[in-house]
Amino acid sequence: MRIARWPAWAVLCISLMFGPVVAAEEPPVDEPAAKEQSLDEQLLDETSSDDAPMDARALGILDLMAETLAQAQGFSVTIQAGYDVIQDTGQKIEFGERRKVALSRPDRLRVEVEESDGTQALVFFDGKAITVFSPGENVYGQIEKAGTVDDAVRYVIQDLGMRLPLALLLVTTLPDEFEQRLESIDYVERNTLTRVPTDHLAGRSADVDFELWVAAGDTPLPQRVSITYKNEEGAPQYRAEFSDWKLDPDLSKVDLAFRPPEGAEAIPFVVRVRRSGTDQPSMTGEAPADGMPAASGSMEGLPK
Amino acid sequence: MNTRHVRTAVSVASSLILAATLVAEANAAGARGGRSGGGGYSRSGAAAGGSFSAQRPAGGTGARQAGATQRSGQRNASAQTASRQAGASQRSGQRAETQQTRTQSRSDTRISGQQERTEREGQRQTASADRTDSRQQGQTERTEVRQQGQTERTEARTQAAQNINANNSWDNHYHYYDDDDDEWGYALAGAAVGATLGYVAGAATAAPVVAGPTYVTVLPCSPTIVSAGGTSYYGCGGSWYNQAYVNGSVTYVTVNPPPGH
Repeated sequence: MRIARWPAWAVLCISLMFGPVVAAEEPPVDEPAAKEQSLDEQLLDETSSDDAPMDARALGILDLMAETLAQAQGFSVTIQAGYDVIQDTGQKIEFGERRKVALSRPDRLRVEVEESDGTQALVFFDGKAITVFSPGENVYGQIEKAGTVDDAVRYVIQDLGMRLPLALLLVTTLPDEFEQRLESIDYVERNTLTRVPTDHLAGRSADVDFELWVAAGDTPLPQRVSITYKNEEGAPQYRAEFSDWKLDPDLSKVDLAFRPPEGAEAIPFVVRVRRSGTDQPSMTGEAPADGMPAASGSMEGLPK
Repeated sequence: MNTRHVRTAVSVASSLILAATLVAEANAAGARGGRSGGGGYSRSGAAAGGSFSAQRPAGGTGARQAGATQRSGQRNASAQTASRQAGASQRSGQRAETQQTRTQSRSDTRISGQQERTEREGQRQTASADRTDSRQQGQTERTEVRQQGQTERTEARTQAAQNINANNSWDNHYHYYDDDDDEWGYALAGAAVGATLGYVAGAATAAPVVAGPTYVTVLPCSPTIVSAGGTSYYGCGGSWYNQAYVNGSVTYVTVNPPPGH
């Protein structure tokens, strides 16, 4: 049972076709969860219903969380994270970082990064340009890029190749992203030892297993997450705790205009671009044909 | 980027192609090399991205195996580059060997994983067939409908898998570089023109593209710093570097010496 893009009547038709068989295999569906169900997902349910439960309660919570984040005018949160890196020796080493993320839709984003080795970075987007500043080296990169926070997030990851952990949580397509990836979701328990009582969910996709602890109550915001890259050697994990949640912050007062500190040097980004000019993905509009840089530095007027 | 700068950049576009090629090689080679943490520990890996997805090769088993083989080759290449970057130390040599061994075992693991997956799928199909059999007893009509539906659904699922492949792993750049490397190139962007010219100056006179590291995350020495054309050049034992963001980290890209050096 899962959220899906097919309208409810499709489920109804399928139910009629298969009658009691489907009815027996699928738990009852309630409202937001069962709007629709795509065919491939149904097949999946049928072939692996034993080990891939779609718990309606868990799905409802996940859905509500996703909608809350996606529909917010914006939010700010502190993410304290740790992640495993499997070394050549096979040893698992954990690195950490703290990120303060603030976004205000449609087009303002600010991320402060502090890594466990002391490396700091400031990334922000003001609707017109993306700027990355590295105080340690006193250098910055700036690239003109008009669009929404969603656009900026995808561009930063896909084209600039930057890490932006839990980027899914920043985009308005979050419910859809979960819907596409989710193969199963289950309710583990009500956890009363977390900072606030949380509903502990366990989800699976083809690539990762993940757990989410979502605040119980009126504001279903994630409090904790762990992701296991189960197909990777050593099954490394990413874990994060969320704090200082604030919905709908007013970022208009935050100055996102970057004035380089004294002595700061501008350096370029190495941008990944499609070689073929005909088949450009939406976020590499400036990608020139045959790997030729478009009048470097001129990143305005990008198609979306 | 004002108009004058843009024009300047256009005028040296042909040089830039070469520069971009150099950097592209650097990027391709270094993308999986990883940044080192304290004590030489790598801090780049699958989990560092905090992504809800990982790379999923398109198509069925055949495509997956091909993908695995391709990736192994790429890893070998990056392992060699990584050892070069680390200098001529003994440890890096050992590491390269280890990495090659690990590459082998990784692809072994993948293949056996696929076999298991195939077996599991087989079991599922058997189970599903069993179920269908029992349903057929007395429910022939419905089974036919169902089979037809299943075919359609299988097609839909394949389609969905392709869609997922194309659109659904955008949030994981760690693996992003494994996808269709041939289709992708690299360009310098967003720099003040002074800095860009630095690369052009470096690359335009470059002899045929040399093998070897073209960027490092940590300079191998305390560099001589020379400022030219608004760009800082970092000199280390005859090699010169400019800074650039590669995968969000400040790196040092190999360039030709600044004027007069």
